[in-house]
Amino acid sequence: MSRFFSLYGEKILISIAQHFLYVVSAVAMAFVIAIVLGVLLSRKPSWANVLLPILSIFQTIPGIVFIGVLFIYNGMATSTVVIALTIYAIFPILKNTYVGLVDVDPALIEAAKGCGMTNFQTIQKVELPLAMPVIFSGLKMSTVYTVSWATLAAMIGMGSLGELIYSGIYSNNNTLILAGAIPAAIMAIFLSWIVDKIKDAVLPRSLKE
Amino acid sequence: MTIDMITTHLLLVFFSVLLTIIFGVPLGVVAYIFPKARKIILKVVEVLQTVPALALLGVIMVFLGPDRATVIIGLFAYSLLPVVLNTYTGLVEVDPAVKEAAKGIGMTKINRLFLVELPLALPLIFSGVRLAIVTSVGVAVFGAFVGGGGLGSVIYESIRVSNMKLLLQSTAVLIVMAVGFDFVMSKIEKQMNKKLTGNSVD
Amino acid sequence: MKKLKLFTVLLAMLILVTPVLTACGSGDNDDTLVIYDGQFSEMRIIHQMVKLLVEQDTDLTVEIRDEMAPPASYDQVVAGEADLTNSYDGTLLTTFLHLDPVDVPEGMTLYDFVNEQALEQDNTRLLGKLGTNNTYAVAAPQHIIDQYQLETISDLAEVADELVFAAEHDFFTEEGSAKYNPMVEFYDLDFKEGRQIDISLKYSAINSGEVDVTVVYATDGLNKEAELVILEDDRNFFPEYNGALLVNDDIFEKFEEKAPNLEEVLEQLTGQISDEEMVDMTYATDVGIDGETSTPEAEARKFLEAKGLLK
Repeated sequence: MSRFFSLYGEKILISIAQHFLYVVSAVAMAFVIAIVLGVLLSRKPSWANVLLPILSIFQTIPGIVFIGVLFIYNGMATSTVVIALTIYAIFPILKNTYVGLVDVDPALIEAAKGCGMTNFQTIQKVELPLAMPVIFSGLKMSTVYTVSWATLAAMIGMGSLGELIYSGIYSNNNTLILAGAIPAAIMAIFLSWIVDKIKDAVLPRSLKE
Repeated sequence: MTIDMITTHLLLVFFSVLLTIIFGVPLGVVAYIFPKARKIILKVVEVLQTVPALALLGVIMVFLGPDRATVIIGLFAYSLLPVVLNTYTGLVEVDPAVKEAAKGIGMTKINRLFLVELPLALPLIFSGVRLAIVTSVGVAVFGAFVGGGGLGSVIYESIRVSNMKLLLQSTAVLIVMAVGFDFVMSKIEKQMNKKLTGNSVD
Repeated sequence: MKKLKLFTVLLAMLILVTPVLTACGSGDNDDTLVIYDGQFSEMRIIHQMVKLLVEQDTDLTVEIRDEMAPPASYDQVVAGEADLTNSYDGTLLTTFLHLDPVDVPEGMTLYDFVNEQALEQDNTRLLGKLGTNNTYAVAAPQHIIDQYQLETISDLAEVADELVFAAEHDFFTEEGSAKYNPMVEFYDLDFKEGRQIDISLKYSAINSGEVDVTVVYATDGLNKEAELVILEDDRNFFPEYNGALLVNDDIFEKFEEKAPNLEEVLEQLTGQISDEEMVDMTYATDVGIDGETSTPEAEARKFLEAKGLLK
């Protein structure tokens, strides 16, 4: 064991850091894009009925194909990894944002308008806060999936914990597989805990059960 | 790409989802009946889901060797969450009034579970199974790394020799598979929901 | 009622398909020789050759099953679930037996040493060398070769800091000596970057100019496609990787009845295949000639017929 760590210890730490950065930057970008898109779509449900199914089909393309093809066009770059991960991470958040917004009681929106709120204020002060629990459960799902997908970065020479897993599988080294898998699982659990904490912090007290 | 590979892919998905149903539904029921077990069960299936698919298969391979069984068990572990969670949620969300009524007419706990609560939870359970199937179709691609065969091997090989045509074809088959299952099962799900609400109206 | 029906249907399906599943696990027939296919054309071609020859010259049928990664395939041979696989003495030494070229005693060849060890540890052994040497080789595309005037790996030392090196994951593990870190130390190469990339994307990365230097298998047809030039291993860093059939030692006894001549049949391939012939065959299956790709089976048949082994 100690021999293993002296051989791979530094590499494991670097891989964890790379993996973490990929996940956090992709999920953060996906979150912003998904919220904006979700708000726009909730104004145009007829568009949503077309766009959401198309995006969900896109979601079924295996990551290995997507990152492989993107690699051929965009090369061995951080941006290839982050773009691929972001695109995959958008959908669960977008879908939940849309569903959350559409489900807001129209009476409440009317009430807000009645108080003299502008459209933007209604979204910001009434609709989004009410949809928040659903949006956050989408965010949590995206985060967990992205931790898993980020292993694909190793395919295109961009490191991540996937590097340890692939090396382990190809060289018949079980310890190496676990050295990639365990930190990844812990990272997923840790990040989804963080998402819960953020949710608790931003959710208006009246909405907490 | 041969029909054989498509069949293999479908069989991998079929057996894993079958296992998921056989184990996942009872686990959801246990989580519903025994509040003490709930936390542990839900946590464990959630953690299973957090392990990257490739790593999960790699770890199972450590114990079972590279084989289709490895892929099937990996897919099974990976698709447990939606089925367990939906079974549990479906049972919890059964209208308390209905539960009370069933109690009122003297049904036992077991009878209530099988005759009232599970049938009412069925659409949600079914939707969990649908999610499990669609996810498994995609995750089964990783099977190629651990000797599972299936469409993953074609996809991987076509990337290796940069055969874009074959890559497109095999990806298309995969998408059609996922979307097809999703479509058919969502229709059935709607039918189920309609029937349930229809019945409760009479 | 409906539930009962659903249950019956499920049960019936389970019963119907269970034999299909369990059939996958039974390799004990004494008239079927089982091979798990390899992930690369070279292995697939050799496996097809074995199938053609064995089915021609013995009463056995050969079943080539789905591909798996080489270590996995080796485990199946050790377990007796598979009977043989195409392999290499260098792979057997480092990847399967977890030994190292420095473990080979003075005066003994790697091939002899590894055979002795494999028989002792795992009851497996290599048949005669096929003639191919699918060793690792350091290679670079033509424009890099021209630009930096490269001929040998030693020539890289001067210019390495301007070049990006990338290769597949198993070249980067810390165990074993024919790996990245020992190599850069041995030849004193200080590459600008040393990256791990999936083997399936390596050639695309070279074509797009993202990667300047890589490590390849000497007999890979894709080398020809990517116009890679192999640099001479002038200080003999890489061990040989002689291709050979790797068998479970029990198979000759197991098939004695149906195929008393099995070993002779398999040994017909010994010394038959040169590196150039293998490059041509893998090129034909992976890249294709005039856009027409061939199959491993067709290449194997053509080759054996040309050698007069297949009638």
